[in-house]
Amino acid sequence: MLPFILKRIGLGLITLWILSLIVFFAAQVLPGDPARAILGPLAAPSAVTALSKQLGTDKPVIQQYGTWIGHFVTGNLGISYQYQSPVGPLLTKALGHSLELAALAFVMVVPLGIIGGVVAALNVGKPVDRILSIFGLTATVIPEVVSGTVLILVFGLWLNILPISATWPPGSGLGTQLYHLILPAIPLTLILFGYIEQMARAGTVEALNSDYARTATLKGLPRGVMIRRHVLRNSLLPTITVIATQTGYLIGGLVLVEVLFNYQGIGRLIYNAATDKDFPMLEAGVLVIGIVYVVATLLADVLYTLLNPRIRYRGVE
Amino acid sequence: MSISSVPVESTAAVNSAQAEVRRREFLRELTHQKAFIAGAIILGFWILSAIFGSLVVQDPLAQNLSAINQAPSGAHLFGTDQLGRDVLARVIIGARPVLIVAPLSTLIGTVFGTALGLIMGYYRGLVDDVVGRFVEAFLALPLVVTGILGVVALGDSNATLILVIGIVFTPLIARTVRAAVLVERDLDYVSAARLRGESSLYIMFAEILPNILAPIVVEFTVRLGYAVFTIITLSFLGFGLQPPAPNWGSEIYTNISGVVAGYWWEVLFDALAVASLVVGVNMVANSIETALDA
Repeated sequence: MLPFILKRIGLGLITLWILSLIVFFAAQVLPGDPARAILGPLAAPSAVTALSKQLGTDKPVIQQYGTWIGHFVTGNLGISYQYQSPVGPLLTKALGHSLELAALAFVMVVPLGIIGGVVAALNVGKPVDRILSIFGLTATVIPEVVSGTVLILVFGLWLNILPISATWPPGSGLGTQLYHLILPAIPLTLILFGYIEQMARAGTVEALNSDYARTATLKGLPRGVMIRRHVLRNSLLPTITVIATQTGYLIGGLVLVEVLFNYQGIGRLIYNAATDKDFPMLEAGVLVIGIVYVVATLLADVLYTLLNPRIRYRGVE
Repeated sequence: MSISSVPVESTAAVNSAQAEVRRREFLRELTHQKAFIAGAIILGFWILSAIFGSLVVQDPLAQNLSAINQAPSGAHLFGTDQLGRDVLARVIIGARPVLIVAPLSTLIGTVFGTALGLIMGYYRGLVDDVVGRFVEAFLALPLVVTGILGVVALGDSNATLILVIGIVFTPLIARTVRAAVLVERDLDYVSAARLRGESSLYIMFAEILPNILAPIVVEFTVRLGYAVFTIITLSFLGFGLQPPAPNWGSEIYTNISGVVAGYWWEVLFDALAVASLVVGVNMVANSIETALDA
């Protein structure tokens, strides 16, 4: 068990290191001088040279990478060009906002997806199953741009019952905050629903066809008890993994949803950093997203191992 | 007329006859699916719109400042936008950039991904390990974020968008191809080719590749759906495709602020166009996968 976790952590670290290289060198490809970009075309060459020295952009690229990653690891994420203040606190605040939105989306979609999948599995081949499958598959492939736009039209314009801006008035309580987040959370929910529903359905169908389910039925256990005690416990295991691996998608979805609904989360921060060419912010933001993804998949693997006695006792290769 | 050549020829003849039978079975499986027919019709409609749309609709760039933000009517079936341009024309012509960028980027990713996957699966070892790590690193970032990073680094243009999506797809497709190669590489026909003294390149591309085309085709069609998704999202965010030439993502971004004033037609039709194209592509992709599995 422990060697498995250590190995996974090691691989995760290698992944993050490669990611940091990709991110850093992607930002280096861009022609132009960061100091010139900050000061504008009218600044004196001497001022540009001085700022280059201060930013460290006059040094060789490899050395710059070393400095950058060294600072990153020790928690110094650099100074944002755009805001002229440390990236760390800005990023932490935005990440907090995004987590709130993501949490709401998960709270909505996980029970719905699992219930949908189990209902479909109990009615395999019947109309309910087909409708749920078609709805799930369709919802999963439609971009958030589309679902978000339609939701804004329906709930914000025609029914006029939900706010179309996710930014709540300052000093709002949690209730008001969630009220503003319902609409932005729905596009994320729609995309995730299909994945979770399909996994829960497949897991439940497999468990229903298993020998132990048949034994339980044959020994006279009521169907409800059999499903609850024997089927669900086994079928929901793979679903947990799927939910965790969807974190990566979720962050990508956040970029769009946060821009569309005007919400100050990490997605919007990265979007602004990209449009304003605010490289320290962009590099740090993208790397933080990578870290969130790697940690989430690591937790999913560990959780799966802990919950599955077959793997837990056998030990993992 | 050497005797040894006779069995070789007959085997080849049998193989090609088998391939023909398999191809017919595949086509029959495919065309018997309602989802494939529906998806193909939707896809066909948008391809025709992209090619011949300008013969039917008004000029998508023609402004009429005395008729801005007009609701759908007989003169403008989908209404007009904030510059008085015909929304129907912009929706129809807006299919063009997506239908150019998505297939090209997916094709680039498929070609390089297939080559890389063949090398990874055939040689294994170091190449396999190194590329495997890169795949993991790419997977840690959502496609949209990688796209933003790439477009910022390489500059805003259709070519960049094609290149960036192609590059991101390459390791992902390579992973699928690699898995297929691992199954094939220990089969008899590969060993036979090796004993004949064929070069590694010949074995990879002439022997193994024809036998793993099915997963590659599936991968291409599925990725095509992701490519459309990504292009629409990035163009909404203002990366890649640029106005004034219409494209669905930018149209929605430009006109979404008009929704508060009630101009729903300026975004709804674009949104529905995106939805229909994405669903159409995915229906075709799923049908091909089902037909190949059958």
